[in-house]
Amino acid sequence: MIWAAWRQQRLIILVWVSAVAALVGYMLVVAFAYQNDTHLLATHHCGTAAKFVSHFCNVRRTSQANDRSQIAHIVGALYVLPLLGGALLGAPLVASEIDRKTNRLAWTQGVSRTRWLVWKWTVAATAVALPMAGLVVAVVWWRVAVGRADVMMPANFDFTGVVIIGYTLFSFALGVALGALLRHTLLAVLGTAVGFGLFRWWVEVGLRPHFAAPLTVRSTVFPTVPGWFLSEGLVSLRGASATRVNELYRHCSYLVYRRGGITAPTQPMRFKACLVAHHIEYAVVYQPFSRYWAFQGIETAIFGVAALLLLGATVWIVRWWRA
Amino acid sequence: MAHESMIRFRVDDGSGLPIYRQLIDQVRQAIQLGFLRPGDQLPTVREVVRQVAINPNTVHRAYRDLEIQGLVKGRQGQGTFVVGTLGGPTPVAQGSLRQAMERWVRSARQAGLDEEGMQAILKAALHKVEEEG
Amino acid sequence: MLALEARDLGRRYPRKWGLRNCSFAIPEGKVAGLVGPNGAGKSTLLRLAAGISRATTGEVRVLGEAVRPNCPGGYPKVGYLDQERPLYKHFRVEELLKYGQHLNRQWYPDVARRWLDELHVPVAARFRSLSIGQQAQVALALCLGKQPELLLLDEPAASLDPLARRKLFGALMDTVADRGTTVFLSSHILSELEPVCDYLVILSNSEVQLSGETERILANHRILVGPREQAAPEGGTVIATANAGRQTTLVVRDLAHRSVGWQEIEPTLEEIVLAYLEVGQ
Repeated sequence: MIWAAWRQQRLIILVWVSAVAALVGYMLVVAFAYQNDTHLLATHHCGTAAKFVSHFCNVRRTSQANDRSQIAHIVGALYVLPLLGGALLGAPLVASEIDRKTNRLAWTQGVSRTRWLVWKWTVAATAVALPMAGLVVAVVWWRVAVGRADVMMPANFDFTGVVIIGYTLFSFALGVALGALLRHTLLAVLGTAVGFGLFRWWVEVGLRPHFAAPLTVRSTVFPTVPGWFLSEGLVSLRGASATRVNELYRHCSYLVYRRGGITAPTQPMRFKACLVAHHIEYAVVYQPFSRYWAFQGIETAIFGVAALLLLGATVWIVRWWRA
Repeated sequence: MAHESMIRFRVDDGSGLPIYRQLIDQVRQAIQLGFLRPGDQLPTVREVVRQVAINPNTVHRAYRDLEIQGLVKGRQGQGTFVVGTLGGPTPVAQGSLRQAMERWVRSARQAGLDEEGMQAILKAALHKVEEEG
Repeated sequence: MLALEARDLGRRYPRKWGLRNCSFAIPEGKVAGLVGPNGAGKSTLLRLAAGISRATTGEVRVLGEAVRPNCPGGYPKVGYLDQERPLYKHFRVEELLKYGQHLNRQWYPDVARRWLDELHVPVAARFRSLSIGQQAQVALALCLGKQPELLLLDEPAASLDPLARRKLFGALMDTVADRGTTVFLSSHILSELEPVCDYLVILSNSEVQLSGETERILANHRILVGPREQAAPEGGTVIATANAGRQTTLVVRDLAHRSVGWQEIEPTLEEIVLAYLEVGQ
């Protein structure tokens, strides 16, 4: 059964592996170029007034800007890749068999439909996930090399760790299930894109902030948040009501910014002094950087479990619906 | 199964005779004309159906009927063998029968019958004689 | 023991019934023919027996067990040939045989291989490059390689040249003689089924019009010819009536006794089948 599953999907698996490998190659090239440009700009003191407008520095700065835009493209590709791989290998898995009626051959041999489906699914899921695992290894190095180390932030969380394996498995499983249901590869791909987007959005916005109880930091001015910023609020040290706190805040900003305008550099200090005088502090709610790998694990598990549930749904469709 | 088949059967779709009857007739004819002699082995059921693509039961039935008629005998594990002969007319008797037939055909032709008409009369006569037993 | 049994089998599609009130029982070792016009429900019936479709009403039993769409262990004892011969077009023939080997615990590679060699089908060629006839042969090889106890064949002789057709039926009859395989094959050409079938299922208008052993069918039916206005004889079921000039021809089943005033003729199988097919219209 393993040979049969492999032989059927041989071509698309090879295309997929080549695509991921090509991306990794491209990533390495761009990272090295970026590092080279950054290094040269530093060693040639292009930041100082004297060298700022030299031809060499201009050329290097342009090159670095070009690298940055390529890096942005790569990040975009890393966002899209899980959906692409999953849909490409998942949607036709059952859909093309039913569409071409080869299921009439496959389901009249010496294996049950369940076994047939589970083996096909497992072989394809492995083929789609393993290259992503290799990609994770590359990205862990790459993100530091291109200055995207701030990984807890939503902008970077989605492509820098093991979650992309989870995303890919989920999109694959969704593609398979929709393909089995709709019997049409293209529609299944479109449905997968929509479903994938919705589920990702829901997990990221609705669940991820709550994976663990967030921490709070208090300070008189906007603190540097040692993690992923979730929300902020004002707190009174004397236990004043929220309305009273808002009143005092408005009073302080009116006091300070009415005279002299915001541009004068001393005003923030006056503003801060006013808040201190009224015993008001900022409280910022956040998730610390240290929880990065734990959160990656939790989110990957969520998507992994969802993928297995979709496999179960697909088994049911194939056993019951497609008879 | 290295031996050559002693008889090759053919099936005529248009003859109106059941296939098992055709097989029986072909064996009888072969025995009568001396192409099959006592001791010869008839093709196995598998050989027959491979050649002629008919239901094996048809062959079984034909061989069984031939055995009842005393012309063949099936030996367990070995096959079916010819055991009898058919006392047909002697060559002389055959000759005079043929001449009588030719005379009849000439008079029928003079009476205005064509080949089809003659065959119809022959069929009816065969039928009548069979009914008489 | 019964190789294939249908009890009040039916399958409904959104707009119509593909098959209805279907009942028959084929004993082991028989070669059963499924005849009927195109669209009568032959393919539907075979798919129900093969476990690809699920019955809406009734049940079908194969080799003593009820057929379920998802059978653990699949269907190793049944070889099914679909009308469209849907195989993997980009596979080579030898890879298709390997597919058969991997998906069946009991597989006889020599049987499949010998079948293809005898018919000169190139095993290294890709399936899509073969002619329609050769594709049908490969699909058959996948059935025969399992050495199944029951063969369900949907129009196996369609698109075969006369020599290949002779070899097909020859090989089928050989496996029946050798191993007692039961064969259930469909065709809309009765003349090619007559020499090989000893059981018949006549399907018309999605219903079984008649089923039974061919010998008994031939024994139970008579053609009666008589004057046009004459009343039909009692004690028998009139299947079909045809009037021409001053004459009436009836096809009758289960005639109890000789009828006065009617000439009695033993019909051919084809005449009987045609009479039932007209009923269905």
